[in-house]
Amino acid sequence: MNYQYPILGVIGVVTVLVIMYAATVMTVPHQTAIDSIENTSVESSMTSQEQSLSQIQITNGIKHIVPLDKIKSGGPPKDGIPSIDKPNFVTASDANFVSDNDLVIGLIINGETKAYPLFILVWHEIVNDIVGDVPVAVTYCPLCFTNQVFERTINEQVTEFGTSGKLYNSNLVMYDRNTNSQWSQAIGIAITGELTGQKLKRVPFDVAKWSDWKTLYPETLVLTTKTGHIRAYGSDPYGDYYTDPQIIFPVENKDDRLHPKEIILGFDNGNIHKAYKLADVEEKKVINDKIGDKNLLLVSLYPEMTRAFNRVVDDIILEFQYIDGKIIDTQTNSQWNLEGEAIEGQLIGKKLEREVFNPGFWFEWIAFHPDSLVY
Amino acid sequence: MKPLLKGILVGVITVIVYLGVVVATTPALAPIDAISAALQLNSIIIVGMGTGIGLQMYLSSYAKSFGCRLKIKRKTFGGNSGSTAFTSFLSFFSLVPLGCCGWWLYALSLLPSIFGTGISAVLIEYSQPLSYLGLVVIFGFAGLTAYKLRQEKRLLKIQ
Repeated sequence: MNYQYPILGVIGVVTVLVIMYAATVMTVPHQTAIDSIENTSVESSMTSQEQSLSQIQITNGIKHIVPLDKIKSGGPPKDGIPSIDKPNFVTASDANFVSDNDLVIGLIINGETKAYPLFILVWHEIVNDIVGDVPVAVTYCPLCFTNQVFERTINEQVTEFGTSGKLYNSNLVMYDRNTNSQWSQAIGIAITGELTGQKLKRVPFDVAKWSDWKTLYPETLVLTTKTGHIRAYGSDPYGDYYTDPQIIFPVENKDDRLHPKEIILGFDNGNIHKAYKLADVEEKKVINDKIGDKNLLLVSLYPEMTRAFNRVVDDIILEFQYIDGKIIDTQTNSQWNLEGEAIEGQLIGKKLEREVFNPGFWFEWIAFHPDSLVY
Repeated sequence: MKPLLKGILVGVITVIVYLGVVVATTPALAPIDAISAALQLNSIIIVGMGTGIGLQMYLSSYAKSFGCRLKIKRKTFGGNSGSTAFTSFLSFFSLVPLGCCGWWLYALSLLPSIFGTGISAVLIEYSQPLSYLGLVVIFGFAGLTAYKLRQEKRLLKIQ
């Protein structure tokens, strides 16, 4: 048969791929025997979902808090998708490679301001950096559109994070290079390994359009494409996935209250989880709400960019309004800026405390928080 | 083997091989979910490739049964195999969203080291139209074979 050579070639390639697949499957330990279960209280501030995750089990000598067979291999090995460990930055005026409409993760720590374009992060998913003398990991899971920034100091030791090549609930699983423990990016908790059950400290950050970010913070530095890796930066390998309405992979908890790819801002307070549509916050500019005993203020003055604050100052719960382009509290008529500082009025000089939250697609939030409320 | 049966068999094998690659490169999903996702994303490419390759096989076997020795056969086979590989490779790019850190994201990350960033950017950005172009080439070769076969049959009749 004249077709035998191409077909034999393809069969050869398939055989190699099957062997690769078998190898990756074999590296995921199956939950064959649970050696023991420890009820470990890891952190008092954990949510109910997280508390249920704090039941540490040991299977075949591996500590874990989620079923091991739920942690799926994506295929490539650890660090197959390489993190950026020696990031290079330029000033905003030198950042010609970033377009105004590009989204960036913006970070301000101890007076230092940095921006991390998502078109770079999509190829690396993790940047290990130091901002304002604080070691941080800036992370991005394109599949779930979850952005998270974590402190990298665990048990007083600075570590680096890398991609494990695995997924939990279709979300990036990171590993730390000190102990090889695996961490769920969406919840910031170690799910297998020595540090199982420990929670990473989250850092408030922004997702913003580059044009807005550099206008707000002209002194910002921005991550460059000199990452030490050659990639087709600027081309998004996920194509129209972000806007395509269909979910082509199975998720554990489905909930049709919102479109699966609606971008939400997820908050947790103890046992309560609540999601806000980004579009709602953008439309209203200012939202005063309460989650359990936490009084929240959500502010969005620029597209894609939302900040959350605790709206209690000196034991007074403030109500905010957006009037004539100004954020005003109704109790004292003081004017507040985007940094959460009172810049005019009776409360001048007072500052609201920033709150962290989880931005991402609805399907991912509800997969991890099936009991979530929706604003 | 009859030409039609041979064509169907080769077409089916092409589809099976394609889906086999999908299953092998999508370990995060159960095989049935991976196949279902591939069919949702690339049904036209998958069916098109199976049909195109099967048609080519049929025409080739049919020509042989008449004792025709098509001059363009070798080039056609080479071109068709190349187009099939090109089409399937590019159509696999749309499988990237089946998992973060998946094989196809990994493969795309390696492209710039092989082709340079410019060509890689084009291949990634236009993977879908390019894979359809590959499909057109497959059917183009099949059409060319059919045309040549017809011409040679006419020639045989005249002789």
